[in-house]
Amino acid sequence: MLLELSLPLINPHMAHARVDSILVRPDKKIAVGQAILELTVDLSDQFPHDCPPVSYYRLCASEAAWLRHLAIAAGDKVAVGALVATFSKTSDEAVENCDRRALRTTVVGVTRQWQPW
Amino acid sequence: MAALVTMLDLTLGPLTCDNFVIYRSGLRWLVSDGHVCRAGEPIAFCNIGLRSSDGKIRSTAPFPGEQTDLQLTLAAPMPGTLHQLPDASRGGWLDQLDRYQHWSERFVPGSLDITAGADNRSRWQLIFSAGERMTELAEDRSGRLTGWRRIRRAWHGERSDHGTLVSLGTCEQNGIFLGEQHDFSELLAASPGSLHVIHVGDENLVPAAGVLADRMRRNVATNALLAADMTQAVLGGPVTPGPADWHYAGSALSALTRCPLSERYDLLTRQGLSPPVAINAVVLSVNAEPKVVLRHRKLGYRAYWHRFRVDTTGQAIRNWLNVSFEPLSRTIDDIQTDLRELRKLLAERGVKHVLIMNALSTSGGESIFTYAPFSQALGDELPSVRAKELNLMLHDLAEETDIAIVDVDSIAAGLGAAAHLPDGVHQSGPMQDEVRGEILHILEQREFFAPARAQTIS
Repeated sequence: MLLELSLPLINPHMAHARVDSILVRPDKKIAVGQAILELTVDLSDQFPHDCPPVSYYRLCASEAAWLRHLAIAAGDKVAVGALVATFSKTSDEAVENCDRRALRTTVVGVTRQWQPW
Repeated sequence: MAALVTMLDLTLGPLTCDNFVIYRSGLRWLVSDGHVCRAGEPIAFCNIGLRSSDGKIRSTAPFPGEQTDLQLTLAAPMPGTLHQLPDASRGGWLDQLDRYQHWSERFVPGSLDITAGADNRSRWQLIFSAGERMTELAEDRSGRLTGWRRIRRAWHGERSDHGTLVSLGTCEQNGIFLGEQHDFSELLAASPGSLHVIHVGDENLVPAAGVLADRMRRNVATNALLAADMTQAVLGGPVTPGPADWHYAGSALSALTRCPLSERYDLLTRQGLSPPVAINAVVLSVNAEPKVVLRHRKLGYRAYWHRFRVDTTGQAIRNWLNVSFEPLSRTIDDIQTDLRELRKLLAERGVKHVLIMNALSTSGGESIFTYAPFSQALGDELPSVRAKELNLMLHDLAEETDIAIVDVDSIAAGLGAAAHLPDGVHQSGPMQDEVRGEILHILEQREFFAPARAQTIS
């Protein structure tokens, strides 16, 4: 069974998210609750905004799986619904011609640490 | 059978001010000829000036810093169909500068077709507005309260028994107070009593409780020290300040060394010029309380600017902030302490009512099935948990000190946050109406509107 991770629609007004960091590595197992990606959603990239509604999110697994393929890199701007990564239930199962479903995930808003300018 | 209609000529009515002659510009119409007006609807405005008998505005005149944009709006005293008189508006600069006409109480700028026998008053209602420009260079005469301003304010003009309400918060308060036309008209129309409202934006300094308290405590000497230090730091840094740095530095210095809670506010009404008014109520927002504020390394004062504002300024300012300030992380308890101290300072200044807007405590964008990935205290990492903690902190604070909570969280839940508060801060028009109504309701419950003025303003 392949498990696909696509960029979820976190906010109905968003079209994209920026991948800030990738917290998993190919061919490694992820545990329940493990963080996969950190994302920035900036709604002002859809329309000019004096007070940009920027939110930060962490995408975590809510089931154990093996990361088989990453389709994105840190810094990418990814569209909602675009494939982000492919996982499998076991480390050695074939990745072609098999059943697929969405990876079960948790999306959570996070705060970022203070950064100087 | 059709109701009988009668045409009612409405005058400007009396408006006087001891020792000053009231001048005005021509009228600028806000609605077209033939418009069917609601009672209280703004229909036209002009600029006015309080000039000495020789026609000059002296430095000792009322409304210091506000004379160039003292404006007066005419509102319909009852429903009716408007007929504009042709000489009410003269166009061009004659409708923008106050110096060309004297106020004449018998002047009729327009009339209303009203139902015969309806309550018919003989003059237009007056609503005043004023606001000091951030700089005189920010002249913008395109409308009411337009341009970049340190402060915007407006008040009912028929009577002088106002309650004075100050809005100090983040951009979520702009729409609640200023309304869709940015002229306070919804708030003034909905107010059950005479109201003088002051709104201070957050673009040049975010009014977090600690920042505001430090501002209130500073005096002329400490402000001079602050200004001298800032000048030395910005000019002595490794980068030559550019235009964006100078603009930012000027607005920041103005905000750091002047406090809207300590300023003089003159009011003019049908009853003449009032003595400078005291502030009766302040509305704050817990969204103005970030986890980290800046603390000046040498002078110790606290300040905070939105990151996106700093991002668009120059390198000299960013260098000043990086070198002269250190980040000061605040726990929920620290914020509560700051709010408690601020409440105390406000009470010492005679502010009777402090209302604090709470935060949206849930996020439709989250789907948390496990908190396992979060090792720190959840409130430090998760904004929705922090918002819950902030809201609970406000309830604790309300038990020990006299504050009122404006339950924005509950209003958003009732209306649907996804549709009306999609990013947790920026509200829809209907939500702004609800929050505005809640603020007025709380003020009415707390007897902000004195019995004499707790009547329909008409």
